[in-house]
Amino acid sequence: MPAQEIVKYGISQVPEGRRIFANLTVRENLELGAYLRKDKEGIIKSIRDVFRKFPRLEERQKQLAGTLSGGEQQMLAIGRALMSQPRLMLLDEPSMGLAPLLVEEIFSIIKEINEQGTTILLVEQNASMALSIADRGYVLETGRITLQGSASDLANSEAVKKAYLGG
Amino acid sequence: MKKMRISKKNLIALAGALAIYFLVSGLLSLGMISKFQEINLMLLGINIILAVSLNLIVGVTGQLALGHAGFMAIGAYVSAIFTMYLDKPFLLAIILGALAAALAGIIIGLPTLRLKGDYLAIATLGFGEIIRGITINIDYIGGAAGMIGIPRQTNWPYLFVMVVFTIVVIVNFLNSTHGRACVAIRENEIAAETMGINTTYYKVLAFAMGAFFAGIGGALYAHYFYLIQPTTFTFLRSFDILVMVVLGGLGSMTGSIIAAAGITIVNAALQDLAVLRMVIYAVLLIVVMVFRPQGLMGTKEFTLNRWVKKRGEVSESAGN
Amino acid sequence: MAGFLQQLINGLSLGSIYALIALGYTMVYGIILLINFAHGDILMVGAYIAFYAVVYLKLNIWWAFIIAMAGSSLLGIIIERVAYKPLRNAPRLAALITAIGMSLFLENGGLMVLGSNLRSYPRGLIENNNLTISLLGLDVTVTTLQLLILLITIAMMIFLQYIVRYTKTGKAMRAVSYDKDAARLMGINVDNTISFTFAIGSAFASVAGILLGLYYNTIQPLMGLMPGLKAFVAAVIGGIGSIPGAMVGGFALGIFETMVAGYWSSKLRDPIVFLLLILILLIKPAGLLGKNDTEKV
Repeated sequence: MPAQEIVKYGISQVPEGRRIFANLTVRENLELGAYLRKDKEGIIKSIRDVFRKFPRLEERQKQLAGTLSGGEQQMLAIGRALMSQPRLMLLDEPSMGLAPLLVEEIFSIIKEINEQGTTILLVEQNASMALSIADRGYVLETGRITLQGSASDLANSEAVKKAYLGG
Repeated sequence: MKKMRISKKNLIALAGALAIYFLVSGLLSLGMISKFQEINLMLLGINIILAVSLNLIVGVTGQLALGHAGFMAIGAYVSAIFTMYLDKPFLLAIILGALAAALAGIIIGLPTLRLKGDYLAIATLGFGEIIRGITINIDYIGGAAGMIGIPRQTNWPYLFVMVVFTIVVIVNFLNSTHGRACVAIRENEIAAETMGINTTYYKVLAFAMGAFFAGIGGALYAHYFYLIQPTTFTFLRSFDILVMVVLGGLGSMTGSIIAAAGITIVNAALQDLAVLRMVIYAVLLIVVMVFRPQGLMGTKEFTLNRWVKKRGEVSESAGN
Repeated sequence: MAGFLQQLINGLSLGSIYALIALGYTMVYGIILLINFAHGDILMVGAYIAFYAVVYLKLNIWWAFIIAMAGSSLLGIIIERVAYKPLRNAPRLAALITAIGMSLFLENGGLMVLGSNLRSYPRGLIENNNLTISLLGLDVTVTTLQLLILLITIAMMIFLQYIVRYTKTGKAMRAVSYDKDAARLMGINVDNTISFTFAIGSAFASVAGILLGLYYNTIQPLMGLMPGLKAFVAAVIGGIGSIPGAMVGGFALGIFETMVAGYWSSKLRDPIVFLLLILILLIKPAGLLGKNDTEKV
């Protein structure tokens, strides 16, 4: 299946490195997130929802996305993925290159999105942070799942502690 | 004193070259090569010189230059001035033409080689057109009408020696520290710079060397075809040479030689078809590029070893 | 002074045509980083389609414009699908050589099919009167054709700006030119977007081709060669990939060229144009309005 077809099935992705369109404005980035949607009213409403989650994006909606800070770009990437109203959202390393304070902010929003009914698949190096908001966790080693279980079980498991959580 | 080491490989190459030389000389003296074939033989040699020298700039050093016809023009005009107007010997005229082209290469290269990719391409294309524009405006060299009646002094020995000279110098350059510096620039200019390679120096050096040999090509051209005109050296000719380089494979000298020879021969074979020839040529070009974008040889060189080895593999698998 | 204004008007007409061609170059470059050397030849095909529409189908000039635009768009799409798409992930020089091959194909195919003789659009196809207008108290002559060229160009530029800025396809074009993979994640069909870009660029080229044919009163199979190259120079001067850059570069080049030919020497026109190009690149290595990509380590 070509990559552009996947969105149709209610799956959207926040790619590693954010991959926002730096040459477009913040608002245009969000509009592109809703590229396959035809309901103009609904799109405007979704943009408003994103702005409610990320007020900073609203302030900067006319700015070129390339001028945003790293944290704001991550917010934009998440907002853009939300615009297709996904049932499943894939997040790839959302904490990459962000200050700890921003990571917390981003993660609390991911949790909020999840609570509002979107399934989230999160790939993350920052294991303690990821496990703190996840329901289930999977540990991958060279492409194979070596450990799985509920997030709290994993967080307490010796193997995970040793590998990720610093003893 | 450094001892001269002649390896077995070099000996084979030398023997091969001499064999070609005497074979063609023999055929020429026996009158077994027609006028038409002789013209194309000359073109073939000149094209090899042009393709190999442009490959040094584009393929090896990675600088997309589209002004090779301009350097060819300088070599052609300067050498023609020395033989036609000043009655100087041909060899001296070739050298002076080539040096003039190299000098132009340095003058052009120094400011423009800081440009990247397509900007460099259009700037060098522009320089080629400027050189051509200047020739149109100088009455001493015939202006738009060009120079007519240049003595025909290019012959098989001159051509052969110049082709071999070009190939030997450039191949030796490639296998030296300098050549590796150029390849490093192609692969990653910033990394090369961090390794202490003076990238500007090497880029200009490669550019000037390429221009030098293009000048030789131009001088040979002028002294075979009697006539040179500004329209002989448009950007379309630069494209032609670039086509040979890319078709042969960027950085592969044997690739350039094979492609230059192949294109000259195909062109000659299709001569009677007039415009259709160019249509076929264009289609072939597109088809080859679509199916073999890395060129015929990629970045590899054609060597006897490889050939023998390949044949061996084939017969081995056939035996199984 | 009146002479200067007159040259300026002439330069503006030529510059309009360059700008129309340069827009196609720059859009294609922006989206697939390819110098589409065949662009100038699409212009020629457009001019011929209009010629046949007018002479054999007896259509008026406006229908000729529409048919030529449609035909050229189709040609642009086919060229991209057949020759450039297979090379999208190949070394860039291979694509460049293919574009040169495509250009040679169209030129020589044109010579073969259309013949090498010059043609011209029938007289009276458009009304072409000399108008004397007074500008800053000076009388200058403007032909209706010059006015038409300028008007059509401005209208098309506004149309293009509208498409690129405000339509969904325009936003998709900009997204694809920035990051194809990310665009796919949005559900954008990258292939179709690239085809659309070629279609628009080719339509613009065909309009330029017809206008050139009307302006110089001749069309021939190699007519796209020099204007194509000049328009490419214009696009680079403006900053290749930049749409406003192509417009600025086109007008600037047309005016500059006319001035050099008018006040100095028409024989020196082309070398001086290229000298200007090089000087601009040396001062602004990415053109006047181009973004200077900082080197990444």
